Amino acid sequence: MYTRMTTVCNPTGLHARPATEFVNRAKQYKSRITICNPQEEPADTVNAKSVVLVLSLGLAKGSQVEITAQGEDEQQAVDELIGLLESGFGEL
Amino acid sequence: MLHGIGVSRGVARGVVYLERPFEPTICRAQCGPDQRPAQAEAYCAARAAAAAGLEALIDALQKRGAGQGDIFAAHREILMDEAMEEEILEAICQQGATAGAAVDDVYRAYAGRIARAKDPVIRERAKDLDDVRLRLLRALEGKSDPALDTRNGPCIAVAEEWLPSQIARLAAGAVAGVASLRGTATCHAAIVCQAMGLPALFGVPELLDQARAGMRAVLDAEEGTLLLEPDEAQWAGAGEREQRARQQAETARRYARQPAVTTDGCPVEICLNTGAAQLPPEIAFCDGVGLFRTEFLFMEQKHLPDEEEQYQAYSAVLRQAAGKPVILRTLDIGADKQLEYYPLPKEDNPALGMRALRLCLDRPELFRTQLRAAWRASAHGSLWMMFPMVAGLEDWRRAKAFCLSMREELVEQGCAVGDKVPLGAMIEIPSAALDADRLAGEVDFASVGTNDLCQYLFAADRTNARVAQYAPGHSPVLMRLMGHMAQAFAARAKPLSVCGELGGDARAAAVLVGLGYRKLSMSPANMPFVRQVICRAGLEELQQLARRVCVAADLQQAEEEMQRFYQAVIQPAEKGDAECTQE
Repeated sequence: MYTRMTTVCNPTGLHARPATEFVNRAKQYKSRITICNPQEEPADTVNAKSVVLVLSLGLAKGSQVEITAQGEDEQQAVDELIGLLESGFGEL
Repeated sequence: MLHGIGVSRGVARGVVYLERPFEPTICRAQCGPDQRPAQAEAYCAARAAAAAGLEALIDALQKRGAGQGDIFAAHREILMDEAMEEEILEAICQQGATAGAAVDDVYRAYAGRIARAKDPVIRERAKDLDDVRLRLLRALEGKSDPALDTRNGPCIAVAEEWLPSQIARLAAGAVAGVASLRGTATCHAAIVCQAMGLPALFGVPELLDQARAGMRAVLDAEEGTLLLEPDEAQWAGAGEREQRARQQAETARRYARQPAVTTDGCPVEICLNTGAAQLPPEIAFCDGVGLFRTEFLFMEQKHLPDEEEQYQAYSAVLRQAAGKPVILRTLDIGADKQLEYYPLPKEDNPALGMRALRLCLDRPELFRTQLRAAWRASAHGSLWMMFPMVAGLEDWRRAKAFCLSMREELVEQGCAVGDKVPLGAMIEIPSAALDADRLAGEVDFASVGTNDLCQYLFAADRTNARVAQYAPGHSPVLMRLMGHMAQAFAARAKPLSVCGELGGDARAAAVLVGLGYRKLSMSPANMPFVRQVICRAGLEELQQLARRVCVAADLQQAEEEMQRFYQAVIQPAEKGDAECTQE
């Protein structure tokens, strides 16, 4: 299992197009991947391959996110998804 | 002849098609282990059929160049959602639910989860989940989308109420116009009709009692009428009007992204009226949000939205406006806008009663929450705050003092607030309009709400269709009052805009620009028409028109002036318009 944290930095947050882009990328890995906002009480941990669940987290700009993966490509999955979030989805 | 609200302009002739709501039959029996694989297969087959249906709709819409395909692209994402699929299959294979029950339960649970999100844009998506749930359940019953019966030509589609996706689905086929019993000019389905240029008439009281499938019908969204079983002459006449309205709309559409500048170079700001968390795409081509109605946050819920929720919603709108000014109108409830969960004392004459700013000043806790949220959001963009139902200086001063005290409170608590937030009044009460000189001296800006101003000026209830003729928006009396305000604000160099229906009425907009208004706010569907008339006229001619209308002997003469001017200005469309076609 491999986990990393970052902060959502694109202005529109993880809504609409960025959420779809994120989920489509997550689906490319074999590992089971989850995403949560550790600042929320209680922290809701959801399947990162579900656009409906990722949306339900309501991750706005400035929200913290924690991505966890478990499986054969866990490290690559988490690193690349964190990279995608930090790239700002082309909005920066 | 039936009457309703024309929510998307145009005239349409066709044969009535009745859309009946789909009511799924869900079997809640417990399946034994041997039946479960068949249920799982049924689910997978239904999902494939539903996906194929969505693809076909996306294709058809693309071919018609109608846009709105993204509604179904979002539905496809939901349909293919991995987490929901996993849970549905688990319910079937582990717990022995039927495919129908599993789909129904899982979709409802997810929709509930989305509906609890803080961000109202995300909450909206819960409706999409409902839509996809019904699509799947229909596929499970082996049914496809209801088809239009077009053997007798294009249809006038009739239903109790329309969903945006249903409208988009209709538009993939031969639909000429849309009518419904329920719905308003600002509901999502109306916005979809406008975006597709589909004539629509909503809120037609006797629609379902009178309209029968296969009847001929003439829908006139310009006049707000639906004529069932017209005679031959009426049918032929409607054909001509349909043609003319379509041509006018097509020509006007070329101006959709054109800045509104008169032929002699006077620019007029075109802003958006909205009452939703998600701004329409037109925000990219206009000069800001001229009226952001905040009621939607209160009306679509079961409880008063707290400060955080309001803060999120206002910030989201400011982010979408990307630096363009957003005029936030504080809560305007009471009178015809009631909240089920927040009962207000019954009044004999609510339009003249405790509503809007009066209610907010009476219930400071309500006002405080909203103003705190708005001030906090003001750090994220260009926010202007406006109070509805300001009757004069006393109301204005009380509202302003209260509003500024909220700002102070937040600053003391260390919260970030915008440093330049103009505070303004919505002018919709005749006493405020008449006192425009003094108001202009104290406010940072104002916007005229012509719908209420008209109701109060002529003492004709705007919610009572029977007295609509007693409150004529084109009246020279109203225009003179509009002119009085424009002069008062110009003398103080304070911005004054129009955010009522008059501003989006191309014939009246010409007069308003002539009177001195330089900022008009309207719903997106009206923008091309208003831009067209401004782009094709010179300021001098507009000022002359305004003078003629103000001194007109009566309403009829004023309307003739406006109509003649409008027709003359848009007439020689072909040659002048060629240059506007590149966007």
